[in-house]
Amino acid sequence: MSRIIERVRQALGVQAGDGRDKLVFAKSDDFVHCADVKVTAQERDGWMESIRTEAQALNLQVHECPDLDACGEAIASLARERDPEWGTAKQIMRWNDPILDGLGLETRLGADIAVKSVPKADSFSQSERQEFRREIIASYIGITTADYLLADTASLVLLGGRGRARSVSLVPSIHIAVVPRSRMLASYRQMLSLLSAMDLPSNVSIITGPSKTADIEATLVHGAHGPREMHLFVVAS
Amino acid sequence: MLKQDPLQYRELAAKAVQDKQLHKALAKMRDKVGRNAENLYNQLPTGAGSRQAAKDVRRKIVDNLDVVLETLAANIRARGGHVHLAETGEDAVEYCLSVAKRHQVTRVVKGKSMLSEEIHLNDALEAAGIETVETDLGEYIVQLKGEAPSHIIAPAIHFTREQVGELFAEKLGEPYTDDPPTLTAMARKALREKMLGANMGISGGNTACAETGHVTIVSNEGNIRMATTMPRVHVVLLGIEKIAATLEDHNILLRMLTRAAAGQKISTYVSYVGGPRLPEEPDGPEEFHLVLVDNGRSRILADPDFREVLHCVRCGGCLNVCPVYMAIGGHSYGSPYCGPIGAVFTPLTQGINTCHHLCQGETLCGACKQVCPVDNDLPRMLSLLRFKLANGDRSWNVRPHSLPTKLVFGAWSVLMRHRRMYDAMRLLAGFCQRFLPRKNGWIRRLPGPLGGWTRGRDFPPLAKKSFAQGWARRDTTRRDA
Amino acid sequence: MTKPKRVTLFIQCIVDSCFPEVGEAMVKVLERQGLTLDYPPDQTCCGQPAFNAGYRDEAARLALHYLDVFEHAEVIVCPSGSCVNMVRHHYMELFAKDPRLLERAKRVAAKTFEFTEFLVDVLGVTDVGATWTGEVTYHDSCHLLRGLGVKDQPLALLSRVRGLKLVEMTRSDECCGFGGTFSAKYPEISEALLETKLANIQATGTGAVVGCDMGCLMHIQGMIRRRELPISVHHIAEILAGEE
Repeated sequence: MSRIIERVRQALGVQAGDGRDKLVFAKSDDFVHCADVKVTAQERDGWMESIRTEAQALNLQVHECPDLDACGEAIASLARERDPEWGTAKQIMRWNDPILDGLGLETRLGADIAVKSVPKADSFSQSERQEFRREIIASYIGITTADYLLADTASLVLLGGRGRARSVSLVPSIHIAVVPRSRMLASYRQMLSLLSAMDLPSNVSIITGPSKTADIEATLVHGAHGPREMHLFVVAS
Repeated sequence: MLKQDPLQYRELAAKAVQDKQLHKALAKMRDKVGRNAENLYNQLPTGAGSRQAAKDVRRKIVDNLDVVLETLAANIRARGGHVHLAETGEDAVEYCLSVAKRHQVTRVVKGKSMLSEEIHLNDALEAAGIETVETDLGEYIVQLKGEAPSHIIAPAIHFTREQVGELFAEKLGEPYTDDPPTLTAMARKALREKMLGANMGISGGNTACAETGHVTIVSNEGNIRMATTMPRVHVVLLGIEKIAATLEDHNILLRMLTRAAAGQKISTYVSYVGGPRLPEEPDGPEEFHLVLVDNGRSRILADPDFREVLHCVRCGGCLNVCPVYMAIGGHSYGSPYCGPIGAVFTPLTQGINTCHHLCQGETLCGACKQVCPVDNDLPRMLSLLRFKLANGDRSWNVRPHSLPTKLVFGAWSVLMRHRRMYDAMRLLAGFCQRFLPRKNGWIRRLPGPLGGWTRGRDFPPLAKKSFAQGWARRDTTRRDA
Repeated sequence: MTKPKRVTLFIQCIVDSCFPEVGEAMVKVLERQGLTLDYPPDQTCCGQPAFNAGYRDEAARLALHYLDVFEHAEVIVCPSGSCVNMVRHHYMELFAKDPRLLERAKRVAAKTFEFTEFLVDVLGVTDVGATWTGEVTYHDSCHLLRGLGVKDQPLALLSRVRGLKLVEMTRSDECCGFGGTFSAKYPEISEALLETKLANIQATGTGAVVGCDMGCLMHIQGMIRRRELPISVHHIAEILAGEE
């Protein structure tokens, strides 16, 4: 390792420990504080408008709900309408999160559609991981929340952590994200600013719409390897 | 995979310029992405200064690469990831093989990585008996066909939908169709199985964030996420120059990258991955390896004239506006890096003499410089490569490419300093041109090395009187008047 | 805008040798503006062909000759964007290591102009009193456009020509494939780019193309003649010199 760093230093004509890291890792004041702004309800309305506009070209379906109850009802009927892409058994996997708990999906869908939650634990055994893997592969809908929802690009920011799993927003054919309105941010830049002030987990995913590709004759096709359908539920309270 | 050879540039280009279907396909990249890139850059808050802003960030990083590399390595290790710095391509391949062997890997799924092509990783894995499956749709297509990618971002752009249909019918046993959504769904099904059943995922990276200890991967299809989340082991290959220092750096870099590469404000997925899964995560890889590869980059770094080429973010934007690339396609360049960036990077890493066609075979029109999101001056560097070929260069091990040409230009430059000599040469040329075949005054065939011109074009004859002679006569007329 | 007392003509070698009428047209236009002209008879070539092929030492000899010939001029005007680009940008590269020569080069470069840029930016003129009846399409030469940043000036001048109708071609700013010695060394590629350019010219239906650089124009005209296409090729000077 150090041989290459030495070579790089030689190439640059520099010495180690000469204080350059201050310059290299410096953050502009503007960047550090760009998310420290008071937001009015009117601005948030504007952001929703922006999200709805962006979402169209992305084939991202945006739903606004007054509360978790309405949201839960809407998701339940969506789940009943959709058929699994692989196989026939319907199963939903959701993050283990208070917001998603409030949807009451287990009650609404009851015996018809199994709703599983990501297990919460300090650690998992090999067989527990394999079990979870089987479950996520068998799920046709994955439900997550998001830590932020970006107005300028209609992007969702998902930090890894307890009760959350990376594959929930990835492996099932349909990804549903439930996000409180209060988690909206104006811009990508604000999001980066907030992230840079945090202790980040080893995995952060920024998701903007369902998967797509244009590899065949530069023709856009929605639905490549990730979810082919994506729903964003923005909950007012 | 077939071996690529930059010495074949002229032959391959001569064939490719007749491929109308290739031109039609590439024109889509030009019209949909290339020609709109500047508009998209201007829409950012930094407006017309966006390219300079991105350039400044990349320069800061590359000029302090040692600091950024050290911090990145330390922070990834703090997350429990392994970091290996590979001096050469072989070293990087060795490392990947050793990780695969340790985990008794039988199948590797790959996210798109030009670096992996550069170091011939797939061949080595296959030779070790490990099934290696490309999961990016374009890479999957070229892999099935046994070809090299022809564009940095859209590897299978040179295929028609009919050709993809035939390929899938043959290799996947699916009924023939030429409908892109249906074809994509076929690949989705086939690759999902592969990805879920693989023990190791190898991906490239678009950049990294040293301050937070993450590699950043940008994609649209979701295959990279899947190939690096579901298998037990994730290995990332990243050129040492492709990293960044802070998340603030990412603000301009990522947004310029996606605009230049695909005309998008942001790609579908931007993933920050920095280590194996945390104990409380039920999924994610058990082991995470970051392989930072030098393979000639530190040598480029040491040359202040060429260091700028390391700023490249591999967006493929230059390809999308290059009229030469549009005419000859990616395979002509004989390297995983094609187009204008390939024309500079490949000689600097594979040998300037070997790659002399890449240095000389374009018009230096400057379209690439105009569109580059980090404002790289590729024409300047191509011109410099031509200079090294002309005179030779010790530090880059360049032999003079053509002594006869040097002598001719030498003689020309000595004679042309004197107007009398110029006039004498003109007189001689005027005499000689009488013996050349002409039509309607213009010359049909030029002799020797100039004959290339008259293959498909006529050449103008010398005028009876030069401008200078006309002027002299006019002066005389004036004086007499 | 100040009118210079004396304008010194820098006539590109291609124009001097093969297309003197272009130089003569430029003279006509400049004299119509009431300018006094001179033409240093010792001038030869700016050195660009050698430079583009990588032969910088050879190019530097001719660059030095240019400095000797032109450095005492008040202002220098040339009917070729690529030559002016050579002087303005590449001479600095050639003389980077010699501060005295670099200084001389900078001073000369500061007063060397391409023809259309001189008319519009220095003289402040867009109507040169020209008449030329017909439809034309305009080709942007790469060095003029991207090297010197000259895009609007030729269009502004053409828009004031009486009787002229300007029709825009698709991707007028795309390289025609000339590229200096490239045109002979990589003929297949050079011709492929040219064919695209010709198709775009033909698609305008104008039957005439105008440009500011004889390098591009002789390359374009070369294939037009070989294929006997009904397209006429004009340097902008000829159009601007046009009379009723």
